[in-house]
Amino acid sequence: MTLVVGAFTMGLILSLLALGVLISFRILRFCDITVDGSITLGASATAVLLVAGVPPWPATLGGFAAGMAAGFVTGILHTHFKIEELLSGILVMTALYSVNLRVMGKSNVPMLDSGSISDWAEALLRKMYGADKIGVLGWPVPVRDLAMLLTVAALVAAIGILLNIFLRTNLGTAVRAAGENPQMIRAQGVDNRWMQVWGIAVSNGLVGLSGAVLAQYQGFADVQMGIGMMVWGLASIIIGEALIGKKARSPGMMIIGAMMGTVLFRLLIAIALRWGLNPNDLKLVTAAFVFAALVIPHMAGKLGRKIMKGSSNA
Amino acid sequence: MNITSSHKNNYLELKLEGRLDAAWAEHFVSTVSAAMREGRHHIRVDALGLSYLSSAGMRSLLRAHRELTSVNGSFAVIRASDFVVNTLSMSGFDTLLALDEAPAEAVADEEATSAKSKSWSVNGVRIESYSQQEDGHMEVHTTGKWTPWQPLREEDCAKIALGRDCIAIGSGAPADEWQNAREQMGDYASAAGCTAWLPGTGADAPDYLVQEGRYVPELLAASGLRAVGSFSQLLRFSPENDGASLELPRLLEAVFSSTGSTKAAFVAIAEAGGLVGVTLSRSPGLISEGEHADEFPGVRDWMSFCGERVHHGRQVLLVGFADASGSGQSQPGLPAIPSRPGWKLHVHAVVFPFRPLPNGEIFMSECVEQLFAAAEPIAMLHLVEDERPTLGLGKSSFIRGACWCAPASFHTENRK
Amino acid sequence: MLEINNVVKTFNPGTPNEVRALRGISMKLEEGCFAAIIGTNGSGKSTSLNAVAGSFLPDSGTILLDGQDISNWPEYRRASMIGRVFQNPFAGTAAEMSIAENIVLSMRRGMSRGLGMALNRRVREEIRERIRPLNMGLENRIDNAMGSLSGGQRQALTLLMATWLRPKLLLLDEHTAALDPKSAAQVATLTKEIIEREKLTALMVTHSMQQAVQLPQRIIMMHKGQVVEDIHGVRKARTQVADLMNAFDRVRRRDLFDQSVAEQVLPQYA
Ligand SMILES: Nc1ncnc2c1ncn2[C@@H]1O[C@H](COP(=O)(O)OP(=O)(O)OP(=O)(O)O)[C@@H](O)[C@H]1O
Ligand SMILES: [Mg+2]
Repeated sequence: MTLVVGAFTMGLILSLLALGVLISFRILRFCDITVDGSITLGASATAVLLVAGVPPWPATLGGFAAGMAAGFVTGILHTHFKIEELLSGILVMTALYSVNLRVMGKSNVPMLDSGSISDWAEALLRKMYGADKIGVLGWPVPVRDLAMLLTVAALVAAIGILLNIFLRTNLGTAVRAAGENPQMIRAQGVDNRWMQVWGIAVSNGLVGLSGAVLAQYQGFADVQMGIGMMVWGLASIIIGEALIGKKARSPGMMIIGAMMGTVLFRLLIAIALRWGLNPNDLKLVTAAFVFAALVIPHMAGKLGRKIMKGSSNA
Repeated sequence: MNITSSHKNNYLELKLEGRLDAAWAEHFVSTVSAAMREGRHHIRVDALGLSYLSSAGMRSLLRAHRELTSVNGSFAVIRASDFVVNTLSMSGFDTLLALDEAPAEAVADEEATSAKSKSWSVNGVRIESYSQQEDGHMEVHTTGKWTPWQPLREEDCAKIALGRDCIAIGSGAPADEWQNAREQMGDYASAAGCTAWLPGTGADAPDYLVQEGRYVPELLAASGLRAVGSFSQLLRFSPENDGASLELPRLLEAVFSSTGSTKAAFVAIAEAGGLVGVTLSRSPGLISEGEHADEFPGVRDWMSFCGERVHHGRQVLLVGFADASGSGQSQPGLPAIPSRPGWKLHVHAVVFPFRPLPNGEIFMSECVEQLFAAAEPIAMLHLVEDERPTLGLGKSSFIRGACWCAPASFHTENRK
Repeated sequence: MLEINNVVKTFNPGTPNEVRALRGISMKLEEGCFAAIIGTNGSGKSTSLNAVAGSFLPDSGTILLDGQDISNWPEYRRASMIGRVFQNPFAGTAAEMSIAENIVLSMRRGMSRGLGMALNRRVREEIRERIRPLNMGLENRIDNAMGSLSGGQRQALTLLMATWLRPKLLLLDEHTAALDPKSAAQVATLTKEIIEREKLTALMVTHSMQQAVQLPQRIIMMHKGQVVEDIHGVRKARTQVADLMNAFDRVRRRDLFDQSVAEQVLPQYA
């Protein structure tokens, strides 16, 4: 049960990352790899703030802001300095590696006794149950873990709802249109470049937020923790799209899909690890999965057409 | 329906087999038109194989009849079966029926004309000459004193009458008031009281003025040539083999040799093989002081070049003046041509839809009047030769037609 | 209303791919004037429209709209005054967004977009009302994705979107060219209706001579980046398709009239 709760918590935390990737890849159609750097930035900023005694929620917000700043820079590089989107992302991501080391002052910041955003929920649970472990479906689960799960679930739900509302506002629809058809949105009097910049900023803000919560959950921030995160997020939304069906492209469904996808992916990973998958191979497996997800539908389509042709010829 | 044509002695026989109805009427008419284009003006329809004749079919027979008689030809249905005879006579079309096969008048025609004419061949084109008036002669005067591409002044222009008694070409505009005329100066050609004029306003099709009753068209001419007199010769030409045509200088050689003069005035009506020419696209009256309208690229605003050989297969009225005497003296309104050293030539061409001419000896006034009466002019060109190596469009050429000509004497008014 | 003064645009200057797309074009469109631009391929018709719309800034020359010099305004800013329909039916709408969402974007063309909800009952009702006259049955499908519509339907909606807020200028770039003949005729009729009803100032690029003769009040012909004909007033009233063909022919002949022709021909014209 600890395993399941862990996987759920982790999945929910990473679903914030997935929402960020959803905004950049699916809504803005911007191939943004700043993500690998901004998640670490969010984590390190929050860790440093917490260690310095800042209360958990403001510190978490700091992680969000730091992520946004990184995204903002990527956006400006692309839109105002005409650097290709991939390269803009690489530049910022690379720069962030040093920035993160600077922020943390070392490659790893532990924060064993700092507070966390789940403290409040943990206190509440302890008051209610007065025990270290609470039985969930007959399994004892540590209060600390349960508090984290509940806090994260609430946070993710709130963010999901806010994002869904935003995407349906006048500004939100303009952002979506800017991603899909920049020409069209310019003709409607919107500067699509700023839509892109702010969109990427928000996207990386969510990624930073994900990093901020992740650091509190793990109890440390590490300069290496961002590697491969973008592919992670991408894998999650691909699974999510498979779950909700590719046709349903309303913002709400996309958001729910991304969240479900992340949690499911995390559960699958947990199971695989339990069955003996070498954790070192995790990133290879993820990459292979994304590759397969990108290529198989295409090949299946081809194969399908071939079969159809064969039968119609016969 | 099946149409087989066979050339008889002096007529063309079209053997019709099957049904002549709405579906085939157009085919029949176009077969007749094609034969007329080739100069076949006496046509007999062998109706023995005809199994059905509808009203549309009858109308097509009538149309052929009308077109052929308009060029002094003849048309009749021979070997008609009883049902064809009945159908035609019931509808009152029995005039189309003929008992004997050969057209009597055609034979008479051929004999009568062959006595008066001489004939010879040039490059696969047969030319016949008819002497029309022993002492025919043209007196040519220049009209207007404008020197091309100089600014045009009112006092340079001359008001000229373009009645039946004269032929004329040049640049000008209908003479109402100077302000109007100056904005519309364009190329014109006139013969037999019919004048075609292309307004120099970028217009595509010429306007035309025809003498009627007491009305005699008048133009304010900036420059040009006008001749009075009569024609001495008629040349008829037609190809002996497919694809042959007569280039303009070749036609002029025939003109010179048949008139026995090195200076000539002529009017021709002919089916074009292809024309090469220019037109004024902007009135020279608008040239301002100090402007070089005759320099490339500015000249393109004033003059339009045909760009390719144009108006193939259309009927063209030519009015022109030529001087092959080789005198070094320059004659206003008669520029030199590149292909023949010493030759000077000025020809305007008015283009009409194709319309066949009668065969044999015909007269200029009638033919020109009919041309203007039947259809509106499509285009107007000042013919030029384009002798550029490889790219050049060459010379204007003509497939068949008639050319009336006479020896000419040129008189020049004093110029400033 | 619109005044284009001597606008020049050269693409890829100084390279082998240099294209002098606009070689100094000028035109003046009165308020309420509907003009068509015709011309051969590559004559700069689209480039002219793009210059007005602000897809790029001209190398030189000025563009005035409603008395304001918009020469240096970016495209999105000009959009507050200009409605556009593109040749490609996919260009003017966002395929994955719903019909209603697409339209609501155009309801705030050139205005600030805040955090108010884009669609509410009132807005949806207004949208239904205005697309009902299209008679395409779209009023019952406003939540369907734009991508599920045919090209003709999309183009009709794009036209409606471009004119939802009355633009000072409407730009149409061969907006019926990619449609099947029936839809093309439908959209052409709709275009004329809207322009007449709203008394719009409009500039339409078309390759259809028939359209150029029937729809607008004025025909501007371009060739090699220049305006070569400007047919308006009574002259437009008597212009037929054949006249336009002749105009094309004149332009072609002018191209064939080069230095060597001039040398041949001028001495023969005296
Ligand atoms: N962005 C661009 N970059 C380079 N060249 C361009 C660009 N846009 C247009 N051109 C060139 O400019 C010229 C004019 O193009 P434009 O699209 O305006 O022609 P058009 O009159 O609209 O033709 P069409 O009828 O084919 O649409 C063409 O030669 C084209 O190749
Ligand atoms: Mg174009």
